[in-house]
Amino acid sequence: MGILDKKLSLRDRKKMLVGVWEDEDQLMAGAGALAHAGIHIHDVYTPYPVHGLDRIIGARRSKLARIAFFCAVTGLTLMTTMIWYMYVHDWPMNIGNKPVRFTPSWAPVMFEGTVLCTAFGMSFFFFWRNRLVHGIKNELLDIRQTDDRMILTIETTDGMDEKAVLDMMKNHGAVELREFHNGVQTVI
Amino acid sequence: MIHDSIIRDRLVTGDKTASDVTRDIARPILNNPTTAWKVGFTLSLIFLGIFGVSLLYTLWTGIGVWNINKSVMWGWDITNFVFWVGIGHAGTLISAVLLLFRQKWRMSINRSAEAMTIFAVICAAMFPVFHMGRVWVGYWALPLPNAFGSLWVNFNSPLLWDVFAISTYFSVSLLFWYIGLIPDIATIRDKVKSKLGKTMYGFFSMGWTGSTRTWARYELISLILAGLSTPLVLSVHTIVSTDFATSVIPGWHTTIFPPYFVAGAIFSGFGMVATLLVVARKVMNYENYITIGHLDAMTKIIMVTGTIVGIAYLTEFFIAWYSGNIYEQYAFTNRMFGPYWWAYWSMMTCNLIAPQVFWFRWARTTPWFIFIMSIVVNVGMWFERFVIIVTSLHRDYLPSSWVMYSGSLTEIGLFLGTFGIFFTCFFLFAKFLPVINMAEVKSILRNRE
Amino acid sequence: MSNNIKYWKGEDELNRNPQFLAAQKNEFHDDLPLDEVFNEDGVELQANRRDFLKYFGFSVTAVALAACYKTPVRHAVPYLVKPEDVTPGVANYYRSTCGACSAACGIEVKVREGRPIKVDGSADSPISQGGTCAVGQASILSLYDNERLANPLANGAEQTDWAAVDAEISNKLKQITSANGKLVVLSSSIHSPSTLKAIESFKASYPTAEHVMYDAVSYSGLLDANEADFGKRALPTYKFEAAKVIVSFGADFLGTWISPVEFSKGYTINRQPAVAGGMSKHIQFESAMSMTGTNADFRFPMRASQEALYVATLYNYIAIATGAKQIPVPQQGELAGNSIKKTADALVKAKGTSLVISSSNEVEVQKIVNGINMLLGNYGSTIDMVNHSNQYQGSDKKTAEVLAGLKSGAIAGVIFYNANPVYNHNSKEWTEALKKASLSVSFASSKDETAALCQYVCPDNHYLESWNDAEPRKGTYHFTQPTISNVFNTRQAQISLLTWANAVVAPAKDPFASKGIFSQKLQASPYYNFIRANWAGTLGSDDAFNGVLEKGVYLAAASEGAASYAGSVDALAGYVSANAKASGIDMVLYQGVGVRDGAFANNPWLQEMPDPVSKVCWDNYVALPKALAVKLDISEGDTVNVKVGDVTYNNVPAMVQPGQANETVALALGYGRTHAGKVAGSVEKGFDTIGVNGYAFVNNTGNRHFVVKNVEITKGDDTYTLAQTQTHHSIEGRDIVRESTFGQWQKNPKAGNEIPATHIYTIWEKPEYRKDGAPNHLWAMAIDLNACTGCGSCIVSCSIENNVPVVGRDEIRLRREMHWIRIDRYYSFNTSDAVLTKDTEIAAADEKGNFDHWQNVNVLHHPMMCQHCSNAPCETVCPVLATTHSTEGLNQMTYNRCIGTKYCGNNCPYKVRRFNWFRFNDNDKFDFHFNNPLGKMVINPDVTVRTRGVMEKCSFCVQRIQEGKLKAKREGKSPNEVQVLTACQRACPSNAIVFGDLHNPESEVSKLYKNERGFTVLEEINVQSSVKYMTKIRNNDSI
Repeated sequence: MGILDKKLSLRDRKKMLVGVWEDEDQLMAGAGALAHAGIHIHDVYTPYPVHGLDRIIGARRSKLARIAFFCAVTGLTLMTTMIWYMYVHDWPMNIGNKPVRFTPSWAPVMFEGTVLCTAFGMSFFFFWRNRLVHGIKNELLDIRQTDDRMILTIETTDGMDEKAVLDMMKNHGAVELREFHNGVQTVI
Repeated sequence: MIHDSIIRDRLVTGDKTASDVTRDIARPILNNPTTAWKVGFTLSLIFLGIFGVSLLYTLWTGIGVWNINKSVMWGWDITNFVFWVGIGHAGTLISAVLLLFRQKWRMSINRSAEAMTIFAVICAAMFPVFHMGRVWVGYWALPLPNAFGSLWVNFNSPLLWDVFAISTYFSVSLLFWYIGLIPDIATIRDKVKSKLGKTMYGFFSMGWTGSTRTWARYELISLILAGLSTPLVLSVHTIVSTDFATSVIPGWHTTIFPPYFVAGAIFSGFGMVATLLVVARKVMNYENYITIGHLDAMTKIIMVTGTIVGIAYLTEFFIAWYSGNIYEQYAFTNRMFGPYWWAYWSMMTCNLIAPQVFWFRWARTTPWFIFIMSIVVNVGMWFERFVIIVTSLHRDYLPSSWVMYSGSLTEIGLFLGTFGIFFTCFFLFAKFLPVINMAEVKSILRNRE
Repeated sequence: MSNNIKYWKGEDELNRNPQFLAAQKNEFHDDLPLDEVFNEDGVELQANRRDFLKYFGFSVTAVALAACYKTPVRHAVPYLVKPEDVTPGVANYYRSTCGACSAACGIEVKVREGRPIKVDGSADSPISQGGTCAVGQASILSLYDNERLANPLANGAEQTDWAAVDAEISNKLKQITSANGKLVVLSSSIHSPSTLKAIESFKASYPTAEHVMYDAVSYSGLLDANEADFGKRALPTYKFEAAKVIVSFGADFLGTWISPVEFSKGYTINRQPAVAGGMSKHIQFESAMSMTGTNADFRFPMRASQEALYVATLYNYIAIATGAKQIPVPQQGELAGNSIKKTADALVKAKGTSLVISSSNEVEVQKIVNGINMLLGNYGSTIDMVNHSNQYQGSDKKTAEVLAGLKSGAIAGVIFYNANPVYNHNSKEWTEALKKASLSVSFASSKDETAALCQYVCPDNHYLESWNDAEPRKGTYHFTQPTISNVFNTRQAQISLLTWANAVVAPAKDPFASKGIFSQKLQASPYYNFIRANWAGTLGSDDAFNGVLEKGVYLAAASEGAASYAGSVDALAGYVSANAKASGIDMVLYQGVGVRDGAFANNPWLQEMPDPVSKVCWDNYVALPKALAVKLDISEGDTVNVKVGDVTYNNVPAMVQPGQANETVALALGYGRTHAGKVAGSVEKGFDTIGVNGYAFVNNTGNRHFVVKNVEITKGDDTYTLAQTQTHHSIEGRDIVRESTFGQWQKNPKAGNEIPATHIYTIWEKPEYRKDGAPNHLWAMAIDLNACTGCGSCIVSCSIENNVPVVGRDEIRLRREMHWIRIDRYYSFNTSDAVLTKDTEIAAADEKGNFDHWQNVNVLHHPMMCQHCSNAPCETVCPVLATTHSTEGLNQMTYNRCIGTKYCGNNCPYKVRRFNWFRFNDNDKFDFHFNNPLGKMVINPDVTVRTRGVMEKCSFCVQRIQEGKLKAKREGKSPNEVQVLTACQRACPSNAIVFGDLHNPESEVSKLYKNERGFTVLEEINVQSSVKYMTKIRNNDSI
């Protein structure tokens, strides 16, 4: 099942045009223009979340919320069954003459269990989906992309006017233009 | 073509650029520790030692080395537990609630606040664990199949709710904190020189690249986690309050406890945050990130919650009188005028009266004064727990069992020791992790409209 | 019910195929070739695969087993031949006689696997009537006291060989007699016919010998008075069951005076409001607040030094009423209001069913009291001088003569038997005198103060190791039989005397020869034969004698007739007027209910038992009246310096005692032991002495005076925290204990209990205790506050039954006593217009500077143990279900499961849960009987010894419930016939505690639950407690 987002890897990228921005607003403008020109932007790497970019590059809305809900339901069922089994079914006994059946006193444990399941279930999916794995080799286009540089990548397609694209980037304030070829970057 | 708001004052002063942010905040991590750090760390290690010694003595001899007795079976131990858990609430609250309310000013304090939460919960956990007569079988409190007597656990017992609540709260907070840290760890990874550093930060950054797709999902999960944590925070301290509220002891058996404990938790939590940040911003010169504006906002919250707590105290009294229940009435008059009057009045002064000074702008904007006040708040909140626990137990129903109680050296040692745990953790955190969320701060260098 | 189902594995077994059966016998199908392994060439033997597997399997298993084995070595000695009367797990009960004090209660000893582990009253004994006192209960521990002498001592050196010691002693005795030197056997009161005979035979062979009886706390005054008035030096038998008006001058007859258990039994009968002829009226005049005083309907403070005047005045009022001649004494105005007049009227009204007693040791006072009882015609009705009591016979004068004789050298040899004058008489002089004696022998079982100065110590058996008989009352005989063979190399004093007298009776045939554990000891006990010979007349046959042994009691026909009163009180006017003037401060030296005269000071159970009135353990203290305390500026935790003549004690702990008469102070005897042991203190072993020795203050001229005049009291420099189990003494006006007066009760039996049952709304359904659909037992308890005297016997009994640890003074200061049952004691202060129950009110009254209300207090005793609530708050809060509810209504505690969060203890409204703060066994910090193998012999095998860190509490003696149920089942009885007595109930000398099954409508407890006086404590918090208390009714409407 395709949980893992293939787009996140650079491994099987043949040729890509790379633009480096310093300024968020210029980047937005550039990306917007490119998208407008019908050029498909592969991805943009930013040191901090830049709102709106995801729409421009046409990333689909995340299903995380639905997954969270699913985990929550699982957790709730799990907890309720556990308490019922231990408390009512397996070994019922007289504790301070409290009734051996569902009572509000179950709520705290049920709630906490639900939260636990949701938080961890969801995060697990999040890590998986985003290819966040401990000790994985990180594929950076620029050492400063986690500091202050913003990197925009476009996968070349046959019949793409690379020159025009590069100019467009330059005009929108890209401070540097590169070409990415089978894992090797060359400054243009 | 720079869009910048003219009506709001900047959240980060000093015209910082993204690279400045990285440099400033990563400085303590990339450079060698300062003298101030070394001194502080040594001190906290000493306190940690005190904790170790007291704990070993207790475990070796039995909790008889504390002064708790046949009537007051909970003393300093549970007082400290509630005290620390309370502190442990501000962090998640700041990051979660303020995130939901889109309070951008939180961005430069939530990291350290969350860290504080985690360390405070660790300290808190020490007491419910080690106050047990037989720690070595403490795991029986978990719903494990076993061969000892009654087979399962008691889902009616607030103590069991605690087990679930505290553990959930701790793990979820830790997760929330870690997810928030990943981008910054990545930043450090790409800055740090040493081989070891590269490996460690590389390991924990999980290959973060800052792809827009990831960022989008990242923001969503932060939002959902925040949505989860908010009720979680409330539930945790509500459950802690039921440790008392579900009992039959006059002074404990009150329905007002949940809300009033939560308010108290926020109160003490912000108190502790203030204590730490006022110092941190000076020592690590983060004045531009943790601005007077932040302090101002926090002190307002302190004042509000303090007043809420104060009202709760008064309500308790009214209800005690109104109930016409002589035991309740005695319990509360005994708090005010009984042998523990001093504890009660210090609580009142510190929690209700003192915070009122924050009506004045000067008080809200003067760091050294805020520092003193934050200490006062913490002291007051400790006394609140002491008053609730000890004064209710030492004189309950049958006068024949009325007793006095005062903490033994070991108990005091354990309490001081937990500060050792807390600050040791905090100093390590300040050395090896960015105490301010760089990524988020970078996104608010300019106030968007 | 034998089980006939047969299980079989495999057809072979089913149709019992012969070779299979043969093969089945050996463990391995074909046997291990071990011989090959073990012979020389075993090394290079060709072991095939299967053999290898066998060796392999064997060795692995062996190693595994070896690894598993970590059980510590225990000293368990199996019976070589199982005695037919010992079944492991089943207790044997033997009737015997309590040797704790010379009241000689008949007892029943519970023996498990040859270990006596519990002492309770024997129902057949007219003295104990099934009850016991705390001291009797605790006396069993001194059997397992590892500080007892293990061997005789000769000049301080241990001697394993009795014969050697005997030889030396006999020689010395012969020398002395041949030199015509006097010999004295100084013993405590002895009323055992056989023992007396043994002493006679000793005197027969040593003609210069004399037998003198000496009691530490003496009744000489009363004895001498009776000798003068009735020509018979004996204590009368008091019949409290017949007395409707009881007036006691300082006599603590429920706690310590003469025969407390017997008196409690009689007393409580008439304390029931429903009793025929109405509830009795009890008036107490006393200086110190005695336990008996706390139970009185009317209690008037009295200056002890003026007692003569008080009794004389009473005599005169009665004389006026009965037209008899008065004693010409100066009227001291009105003493104690006009209470004496009123008392007199009450007594006269109850002529013939009244009883006046006094604890005074002054012959004159006792003579007047005799006179009073004579005027009231109580002799023959409430006082029996014909079938008199032998319980105390000591003579102070004779003892003084012995001391003088020793000093002068007239007496050359002295033998101490249950007597310890160096401690409890004039210590200094006895120490001097003993140096002069050419022979001094002590029978003390431990090296006490006197024994330490004696040349020879011939340790006596513990009474549970002994044969004996007793005659506590004329014609009432009790028997003592051994319940365990000698723990140490000790020997009964009687045998020692007989041996030295060369009068050992040749062993007769042993009736028990077949009967297992005791037989050897029996044959070896010449004293058994001596007793048999002694009883040959009345109980000749084995069956007769054994029958009596089984019952423990032999009652001869009571003799009729009346005692002839030859006394007169006219001559006493002089004495009375001489002692009418009161000046200075009086000190009353009294016996504490726990430690009594000090003989049992080394018993940790008694030290830890809180005093019934002050709730102080582990110390004696000077009890001060509030007025004096204020004058000396003494408050809680202060100390005083006490000076009488040339005796001074500095920094004695002081305590302000409500009810203490002004201008008087009180100090308990029995403390300040210097040679008791690790508990009470020992100089040579280096253990601190507990408290101060009150005997030093006693004036020994004539009859010993336990009331001391002109005491100088000043505030001490030190402060001292007394270990008290209760530190708040007023009930704060709370509806915890309900009380009313007899008058009210007669109008309305619900009096004092009218408070309507609080309306209880519960969302849970009522618990119904059923098992497999059928109603199960529902255990419950009812406690009669009118019967309970607060004596504390139940506390000790419970501690013994349930292996409750002793924690010591420091832990009690930290408020950590472990007792499962406690007796809460509340004072209420009476002013002219109000009853003060709140501390604030009392403080306000004190402000006025008048402290009379401190002298006029009412006291409530409120036994409190786990209430076994149906809606138990403790159960709900335990995270691990260590405490749950049984189907029989018991609140169970599962020690194994407890993790020690202590929430249950906090949430208990009655605060009856106890926590094991440390490991109380095998812990040198708590060096009591749980810390040595011998002391552990007293542990009840039916009850777990709790480990460190677990909660514990009253279990309603669940082990006894179980035993009762099994017994009924074995005997095929119906559940309603299950007989269970809890330890506290079994011990109670006043039948205050009733336990039983509420589902059995016929049970006594069910009946009491219907009683109008019944109420439960803290009903309003709806915990549904299973213990009902009966409203306390006081007969104090008017004297």
